[in-house]
Amino acid sequence: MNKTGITQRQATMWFTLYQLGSALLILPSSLAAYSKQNAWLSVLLTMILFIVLSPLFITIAKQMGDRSFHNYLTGMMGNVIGKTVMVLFLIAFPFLTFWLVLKDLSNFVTTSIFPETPPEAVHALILIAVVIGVRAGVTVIGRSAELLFFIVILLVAIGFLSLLPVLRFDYLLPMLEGGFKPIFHGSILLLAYPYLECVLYLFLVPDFQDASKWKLSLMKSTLTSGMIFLIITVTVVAALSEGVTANLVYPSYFVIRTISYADIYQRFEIVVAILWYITIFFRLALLLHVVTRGLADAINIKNANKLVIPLALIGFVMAKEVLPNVPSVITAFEVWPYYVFVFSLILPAILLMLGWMRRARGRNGTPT
Amino acid sequence: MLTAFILILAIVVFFADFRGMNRQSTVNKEIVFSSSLLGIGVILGVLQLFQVPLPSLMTVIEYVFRPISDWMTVMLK
Repeated sequence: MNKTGITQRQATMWFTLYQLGSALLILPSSLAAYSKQNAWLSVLLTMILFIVLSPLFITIAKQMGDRSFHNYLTGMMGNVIGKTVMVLFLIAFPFLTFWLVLKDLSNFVTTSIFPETPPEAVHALILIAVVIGVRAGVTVIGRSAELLFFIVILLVAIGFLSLLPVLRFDYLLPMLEGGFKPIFHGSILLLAYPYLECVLYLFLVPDFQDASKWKLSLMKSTLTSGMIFLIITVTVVAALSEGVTANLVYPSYFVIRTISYADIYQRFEIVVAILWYITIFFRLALLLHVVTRGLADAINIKNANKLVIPLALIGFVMAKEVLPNVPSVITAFEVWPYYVFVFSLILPAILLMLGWMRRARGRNGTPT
Repeated sequence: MLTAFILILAIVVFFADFRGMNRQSTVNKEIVFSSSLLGIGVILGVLQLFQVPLPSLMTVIEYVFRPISDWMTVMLK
């Protein structure tokens, strides 16, 4: 091990936790709102769609080679346009997501667990952890992902296996009642949030000990988190029925609250809160890492660590402003996927075409 | 109140971070850029403390992408 950075295993676990992130709690509800009792089919369809779309990102990662995403972008678009696109991209996508994720966290914690705690306290506490993590570097976050991954899996297992006796699989019937369209609608949502955010993983390509392992990490993490989403969606819908699921804001939390056997085996809902905290930490850490690293590259600063505290402060302030309340989160969520597509499908597609054009021109230009 | 505390904490930690390295001349750009970012953060925080409504990017996004979302909802009904 001569190059510091993250191993493929650490990256896989980090990406998995990232993908579980916010979607873990909110997902079943928004899926059930669109595709009703067939929510789990949406998850499967998303997996298929993602596997179809993944060559886009894998090819970009291959074109990048050992370069950072910033160098790749400026190499494709020229210095001025490349840097401008980079900064706009960073503010409009990862940084905005960072605010939204913080807001999500405090919305959940202050409505469900600590009703009297001000949201600023929740933001500040997790931000301190995230700032320390990001300043310590990718390797440290990778190792902590390796440690916490199995705790997350264990907690998911404890929570959702306990529901097995109360599952009623007739809630999942009739299959394909409304045809394929609602299922597709649901999977657009899941695809954009969180799967297509994998465009951000491209920032981590140079941190890999072996850059060619990037695609393995991407596919493995997608399949793992997809399995977990599938299990969660099936259990939530089968335990609560689609109508109830769609009307709850945090169905995965609520369904764990219903566990109660013999008045002893109960009150596991805090397990979900712990899960949520762990996964949100990795989500925030990746987002903040991407923003700091990208910004430092764009303005040509060597020591990216100096930017972490100012950026976290801006995040702390803006998280309170970005969306005023919980219902606004739900309406914004309807629009969000199409916004994400601009950055995670259109931008990579443009980059890929530029790469091909460049290669074609290079081939024609070289004397035979 | 808590916001004010966090602002002060961030400023203190930020300067503690720079102590000892600000004598090197090559880091000027770093100092300028990161302290202006910190400045933006502090200004936003103070505005928030005085309850000035800050513009949210989400309003713009909702305005621009709402038609597409509505159209998709109709198409996929």
